[in-house]
Amino acid sequence: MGAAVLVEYIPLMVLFALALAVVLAIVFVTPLVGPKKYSEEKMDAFECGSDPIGQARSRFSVKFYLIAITFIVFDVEAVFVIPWAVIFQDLGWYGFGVMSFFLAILTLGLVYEWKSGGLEWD
Amino acid sequence: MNGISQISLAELRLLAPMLVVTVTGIAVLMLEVFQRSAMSRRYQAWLSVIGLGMAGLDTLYLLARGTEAFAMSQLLYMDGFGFTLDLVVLLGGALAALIAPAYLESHRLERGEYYGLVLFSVVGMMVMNHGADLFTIFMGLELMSIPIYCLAGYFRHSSASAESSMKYFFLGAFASALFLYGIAFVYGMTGTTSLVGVSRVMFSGLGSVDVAGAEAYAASSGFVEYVGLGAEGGPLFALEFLPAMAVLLILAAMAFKVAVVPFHAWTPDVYSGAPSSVVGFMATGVKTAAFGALVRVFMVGFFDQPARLSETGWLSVFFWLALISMVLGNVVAIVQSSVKRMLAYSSIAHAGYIMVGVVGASYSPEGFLQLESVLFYLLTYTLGTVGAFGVLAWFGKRGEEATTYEDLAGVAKKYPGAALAMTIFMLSSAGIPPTAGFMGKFYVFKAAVQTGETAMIALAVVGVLASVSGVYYYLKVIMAMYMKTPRREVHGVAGLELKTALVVCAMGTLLLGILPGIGLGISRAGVLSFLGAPPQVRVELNKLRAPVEAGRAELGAPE
Repeated sequence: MGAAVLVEYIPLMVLFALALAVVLAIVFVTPLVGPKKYSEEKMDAFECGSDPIGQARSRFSVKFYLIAITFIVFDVEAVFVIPWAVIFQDLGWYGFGVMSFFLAILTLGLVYEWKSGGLEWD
Repeated sequence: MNGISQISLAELRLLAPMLVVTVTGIAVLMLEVFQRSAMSRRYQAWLSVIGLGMAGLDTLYLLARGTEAFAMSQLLYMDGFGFTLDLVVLLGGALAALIAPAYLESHRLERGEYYGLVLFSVVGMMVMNHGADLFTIFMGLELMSIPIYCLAGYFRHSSASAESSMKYFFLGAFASALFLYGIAFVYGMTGTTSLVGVSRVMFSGLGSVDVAGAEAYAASSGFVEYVGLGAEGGPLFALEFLPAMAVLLILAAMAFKVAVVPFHAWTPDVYSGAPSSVVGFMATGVKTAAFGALVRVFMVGFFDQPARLSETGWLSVFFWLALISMVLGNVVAIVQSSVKRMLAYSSIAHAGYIMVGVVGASYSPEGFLQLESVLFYLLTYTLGTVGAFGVLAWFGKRGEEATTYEDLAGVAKKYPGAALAMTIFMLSSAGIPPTAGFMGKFYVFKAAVQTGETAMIALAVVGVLASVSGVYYYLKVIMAMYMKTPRREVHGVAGLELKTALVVCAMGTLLLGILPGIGLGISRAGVLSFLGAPPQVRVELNKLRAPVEAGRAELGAPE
């Protein structure tokens, strides 16, 4: 029984093996076979065809992190609220109560963030 | 109301301890942002203690009433085992809150989030203690861990603290991923994440539990064609690779949280960088909840013969984890120069001792009651370890903590109370009577010896030898405090709260050392009321429970 289940997966395994072989070939065979002609232009960093300006890496404020986290919290909240909204009628007052409770806790979190200055840039 | 299972008031009543702690946590956070920043936060510590204390009293009440029920659509076991672990966790949380005020003030870290994080983490631990489903346990694990990661980095201006937080977070996230991967394997095999369901479906194929029941279960869970029970006459789990992977992944995640060798490498760095006031809680609360979940997952989900007792079964894995944790923890602790790192390695050794109790209890259904030694050990360990870190939190100022043996030199002259308390905690950790640590070790080693198996007795002997070698470094602390002359003046800041916490820990340690019956009684009540126990264990438990219940009826106590 167990073996029978696995047989069905053989094509998938073949696909995986082929994919791996292609990747390995591109990474390791190309440098061996391909011609190598270096020039100054080729070694430059490519930046939309214009001359590169400054470093590729730059520092940005850690405050974006807080904004991203806040976004995720309310994004996930929407993920929970939308399915509830879809079957809102069926769930009735019980569903409404539970969702209100959830939103109330989340609102307290927002109050906390607001009061401790998480929504201000400075 | 199409098929929605509503939460009944009776269920909410059982969840009251968790809800009280949650509400206290939210209240503390709100108070923090609405108060003037110059005001003292001392009252928040007391507020947290009151919240945790109320939850503790209610837990004790539920435990004494012999409550056994499912809650939240069978996602939580509200049973004595969970309540007993809750008591330990609540105690650890309350002590962590009491140790904090003076420490946070003297290091200029005073922010109420500390208490909020401790409280939320306690809720997560309680969820883990009651988990009846792999996902509930995972949720509890995350709810417990994330506040702890933040607490580890609470020293905002110390790079060591940031390093500690970062290391713990990355490795912890990795452990969570392993746990999820394990759950995925289990779900793939059985079509359920409920622990009882897992054991029913998974081991039916190997013919050790009733096959008819398992088939009925598989049919009702709508997974019949996937599991393929009886479809072509052979068990799916002839593929032993899958269950082994599942068990291994879940085991690795749990072993990471309880910090047993070889999943211990994060412990010393994290403990030495994190604020002293919280390390005790990190060491004890997390261990308690993780051991609770570990016992529940393996006893309920994977108790059956082939998974437990075969050559590659989890019991032999536990055996070796216990053995190397005890030996390596103690040996490496000897060479540490920092007391915090020494205590970190000693906590690894303690995890090993507790593991000995788990191994002894899971060897046979008859020995299941020996699980009481694990609960008792967790209680004694909590008192001793939170206390020891509390004493360390006493000394130091503005980011400078007492960490080395030299820092503790001469403490006994200036602060005799602190030195006496530390002595009691060190003796308890070393396992010297009349302290609680001795009784704890006695019971876990007894759990291993009562199996009568040579290997188990050898394990207990190794444990005793390892703990003897541990005496060396515990006595070194006492020697530094009483016999060394300080190189510079020791400076300590302790408030009423810290002193209260230390007195509670010291008195508790001595009390449980002299009258272990109190702690053992609660532990036994916890083990006897273990929901989800496999059938062969339930038979044994019922034998032991009969006289208890008869006594309860005689006293006319409510059911």
